[in-house]
Amino acid sequence: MRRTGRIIRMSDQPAHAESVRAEARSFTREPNGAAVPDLADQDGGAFFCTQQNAMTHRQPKLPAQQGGRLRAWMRGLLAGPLALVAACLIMAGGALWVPPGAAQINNLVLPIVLFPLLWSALFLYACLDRKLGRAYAIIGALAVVNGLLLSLHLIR
Amino acid sequence: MFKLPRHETKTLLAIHGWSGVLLGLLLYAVICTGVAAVFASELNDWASPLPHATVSADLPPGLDDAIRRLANEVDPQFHEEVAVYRGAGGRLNLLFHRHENGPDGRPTERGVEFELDPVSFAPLDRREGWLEEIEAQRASTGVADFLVNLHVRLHIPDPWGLFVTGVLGLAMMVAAVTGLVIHRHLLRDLFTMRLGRDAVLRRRDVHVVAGSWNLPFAFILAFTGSFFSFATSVGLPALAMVKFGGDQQALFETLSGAPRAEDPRPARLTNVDAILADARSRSNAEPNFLSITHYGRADSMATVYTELPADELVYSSYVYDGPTGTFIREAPPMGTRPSVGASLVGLMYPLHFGNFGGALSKAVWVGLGFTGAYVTLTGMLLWAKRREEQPAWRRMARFIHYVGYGLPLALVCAPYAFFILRDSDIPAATSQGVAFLTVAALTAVAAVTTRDMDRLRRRLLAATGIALLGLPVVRLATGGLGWMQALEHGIAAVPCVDAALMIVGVASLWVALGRRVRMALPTRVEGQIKSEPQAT
Amino acid sequence: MMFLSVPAILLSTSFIAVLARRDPKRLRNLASAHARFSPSPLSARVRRLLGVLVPVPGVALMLLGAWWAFLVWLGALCIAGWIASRALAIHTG
Repeated sequence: MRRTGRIIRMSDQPAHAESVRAEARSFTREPNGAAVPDLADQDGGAFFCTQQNAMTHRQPKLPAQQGGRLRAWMRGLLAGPLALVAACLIMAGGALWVPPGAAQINNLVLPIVLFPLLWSALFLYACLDRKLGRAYAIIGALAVVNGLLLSLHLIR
Repeated sequence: MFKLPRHETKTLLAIHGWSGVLLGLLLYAVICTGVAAVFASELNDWASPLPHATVSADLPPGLDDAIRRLANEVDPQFHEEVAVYRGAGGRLNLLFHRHENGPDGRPTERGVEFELDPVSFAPLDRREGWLEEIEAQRASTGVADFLVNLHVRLHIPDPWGLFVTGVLGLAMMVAAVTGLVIHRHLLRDLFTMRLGRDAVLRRRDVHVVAGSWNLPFAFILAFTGSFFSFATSVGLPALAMVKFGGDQQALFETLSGAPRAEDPRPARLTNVDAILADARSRSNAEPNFLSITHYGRADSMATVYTELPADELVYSSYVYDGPTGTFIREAPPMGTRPSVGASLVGLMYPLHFGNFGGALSKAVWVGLGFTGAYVTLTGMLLWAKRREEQPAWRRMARFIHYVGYGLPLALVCAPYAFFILRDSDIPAATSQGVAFLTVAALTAVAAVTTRDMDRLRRRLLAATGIALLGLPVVRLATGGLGWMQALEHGIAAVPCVDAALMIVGVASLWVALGRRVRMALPTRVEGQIKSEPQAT
Repeated sequence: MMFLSVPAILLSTSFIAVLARRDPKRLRNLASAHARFSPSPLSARVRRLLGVLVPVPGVALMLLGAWWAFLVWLGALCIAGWIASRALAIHTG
């Protein structure tokens, strides 16, 4: 059940699928009645409505849903605090491995300048990789490598 | 534009929407205050002009005598560094200080600051203490400081405020990227805005079209803003820990160029006016900041910063030997020689502040900021509209209306307290903060009691318009300069800001009283959701 | 630098105004609401040509090394595009 690994997974429930599609269609009607492909055309707007419908109707939870909720939390944990920690470690570690350049300051300045991009990239990657385990492994590896570099440097 | 798989598109839209709706209100506050902060210097000149003609130079000739005279009045420990820069209305600020760790253990400055008349060099004010205490005593810059503090740190103490605004910048950056990727017809829809009966379609179009046009600058402003917030709150402490055992002063010294060898022997500083004239001729730009380290010692150095010269986006500084006035080097923003890192840091300033091309670039940046605020607000309203069948989201929609239209009103009302209480002992930040919160509370009452959200929007917009029109009146009534007097003294900021406030005020009233928008907002009628009747 | 950026802004904005006024999708929507006032949409070729011409002043500023004029041009262009879309918004029933 790979799709249950997304942030919100209620759209897997067939009971709500049709209402979702209908809502999406209603968003994309031209005034003359012609259907227009746009954001909502991609079920985007409906994506969350499905979750809300599910919340409103309070249906009994299926085991797959409960597992999916855990995955969502795990993904949120990775995309939020863990990606931030990893970005901080990469930034700090960058002071050790970024070439300092002729002015001897690039290793101090570039990690700070690029930190927002770094965090954003890790955040988006953590949200988008369908294989949550792989996302944990890659972000974890980046964090651990830089953490080890920092530890060795500080111990010395 | 991008053909992503359906699943990824869904996820990105989820990120786009939820990051916007969870952090959007705070982000909206940061953007709104940022729009006003672009003209911070002009606002200060408008709020606190000097009552006579002033000089055009930020650091006018005659400064040399003033520095020597005032240096004798302060404790020599504060000769460690003298910073000279322009204040409100052309006033001169001279801060004699030393670098220390503050009561919270973080590096800061402590010393004495003088505020001088730029023509007579007579002292207008004297402030002492830690830098934060000195800043709180600067009454003349109160109006802009209140806005800038809200923009930079939401009035939350450092480093947490900076951290929060940094995260908001990241959220905006993520929203910009995801917005770009999920919009499949970015170019085709650039001009399609349908303001019809379908409220969701209308809100989608106004959000998407504004967001599409604003995309490049939403990213740039978010990235640069996030950099400024995180650099001091996270980046510098972390790198100081790694490379200098936690000594941030050592990191600053490395970044600003290796300090000179210590030589505490007394030596008279050369003529500062001559240094400024030399920097002016080398840069073809007007000096606007002077730093003198180790004043009165043989190892003293003077560093002059200038406005950006024409065609330049990255600033330089000019370094001189203190005792002899010999030119040492032209320094990049960081380090002693050009580098990629220094250039990138230098670019951050003009890209974020828009202050590189005078009033034209500032006006464009205000427009971009306004568009950003509009995109944020319409995005939140769209998100709430799509979920309006749920009571919680209807309450959220009301709250978004409250913040979206109430915040500008509270911001406009804050300077009223500044003008009315400017001669009292109450700090400008306190009086404006109280006024801001009072108006916010009154607006909250209006938001709760006004059932129709379109009416609430109109009332708040009308109140904002009236408040904007009233500001010049209150400024004049509390002893402010008249237009003719200001023009005679060459103080263009007074009539220009007054006129801008009146134009925006009239525009707000025009929107508030204009054709009623067909909101089709739902109301609870006997337990059922029912759309409001279409207004005419 | 204003003498460089202002003409560049005016030139690009005029192209955008034409593109916005005669945008096919906009006109398709407009047709249903205010059919009588619809101008004819631009052909794909003309649209492509105008689309290429819009950034030309900005490219020229870049080639001249007038970086701040380029930034002002880009910012003004983004605002002008939004204003044009807003001004030509379709008020359907």
